[in-house]
Amino acid sequence: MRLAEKYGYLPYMVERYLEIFGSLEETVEFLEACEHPLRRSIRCNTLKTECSSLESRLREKGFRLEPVPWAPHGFWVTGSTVSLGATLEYLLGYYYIQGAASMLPAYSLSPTADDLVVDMAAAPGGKTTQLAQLMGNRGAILAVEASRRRVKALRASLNRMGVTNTVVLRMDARMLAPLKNTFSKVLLDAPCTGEGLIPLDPSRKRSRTIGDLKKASSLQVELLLTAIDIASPGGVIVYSTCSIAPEENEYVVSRVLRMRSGVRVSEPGISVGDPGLIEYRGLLFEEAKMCRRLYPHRHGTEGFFTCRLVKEK
Amino acid sequence: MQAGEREVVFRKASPWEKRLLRKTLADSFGEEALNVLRGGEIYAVEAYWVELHLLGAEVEKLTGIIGRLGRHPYSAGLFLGWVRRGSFTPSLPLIQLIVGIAERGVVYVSEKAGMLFLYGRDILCSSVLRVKGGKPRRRQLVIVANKRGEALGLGVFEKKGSVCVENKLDLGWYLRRAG
Repeated sequence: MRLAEKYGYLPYMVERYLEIFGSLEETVEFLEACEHPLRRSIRCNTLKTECSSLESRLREKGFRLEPVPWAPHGFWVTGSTVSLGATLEYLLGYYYIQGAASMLPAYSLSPTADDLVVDMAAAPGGKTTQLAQLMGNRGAILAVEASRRRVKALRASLNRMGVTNTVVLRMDARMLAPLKNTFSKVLLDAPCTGEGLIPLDPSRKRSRTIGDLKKASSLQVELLLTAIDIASPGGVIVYSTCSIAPEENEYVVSRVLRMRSGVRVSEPGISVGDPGLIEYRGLLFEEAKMCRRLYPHRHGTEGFFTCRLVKEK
Repeated sequence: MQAGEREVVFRKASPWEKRLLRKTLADSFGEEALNVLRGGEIYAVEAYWVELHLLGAEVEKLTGIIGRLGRHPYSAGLFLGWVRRGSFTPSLPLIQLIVGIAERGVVYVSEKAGMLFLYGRDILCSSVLRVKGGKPRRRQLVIVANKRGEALGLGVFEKKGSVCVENKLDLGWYLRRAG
């Protein structure tokens, strides 16, 4: 309670952090890290430019850049003289402002020009444009977004980044169920409480109740069930959230695997992150060790979770 | 730049819409500009106005799959521009593809003028460095580009006092309106 009060969190959140990290010391480390803004990062858009050329143009403008070791197109921006979203290079679509951790799901999904891909919660377009980049604007992507307002931002991102292999559909992704066994790659970056984004938005320390957490978790289960159903046999599904809540992550994956046979967790194909939680509040989920968790105090990123599933042939 | 709030209808572009698109591009930027339309099918998204989109084979196939849901796509493929009151206006993504292959209708401007253009300002004649393909006709659509040849937006060539190009659409739209 004292920690929650000191750092301004709702008490249920800190109680869970103590369980996740297993020690008071690390919980405090985590809470401290959340007090500081994160390094910003960008993803160079190879659909429109070469990364080396972008790098030199931005350096000329006074940006200090460092490659993100686990993201081939990612750069940390450690210093800049102008706002990242106000450069000509940004407007030309040469880069996307994207959290380094949130670049991981697309790399984990690893789509190619031969894939039919669906991005089930696509706005504002960071991951959709990254998928298109990895596919070289070939193949096809269905980008689904329920919110009328957010679909506009999604379209603007696709236009700015030069994406031409995508169809945008405004609907609740749960309604995709009739498209069973259709997509070779499915990305579900699920709507979540955003508990991993506290360093970027401290209001989240108190704005999400345990009721919100339960609601998010139920929605995520429904969405992940749909994701599995619409994946083709042999298809890959990547589930991710910008939350560190096990209720939105390992619990969701574990519950869905109990409800659907013929799906398994697989190695994520990324070189960063801690294994998922195998045990949490009585839940045992051995396969979660192949999922990945990222934390501000350990990885210098937003709190993030990603897990790769394969649907058997 | 959006299809509006009304429920959208997605359909193949009509012959008239296709003719209007091709005529606008050829008249303003030369026949070479039509190469960007190669290998794709033109579709229209209709709401308050009509938007044209270019779909490659795989994307077109995907729209067929979506048809099983009884839903119309909000957009698809390359957004080409929109048709309103009988005229076609090219989109920002389209002019970025055309700028490198246009035979005419590209106005290269100084860095400072380019930056001001991104804030919605017109181009002064004194800021024009060169014009590809000779002086444009009055009211011709032109692409405004910087020294590197990067398209900054779309304008209308109109000499009015010290102004040579009226701003019609610029990349600053992504900041001003997109969110």
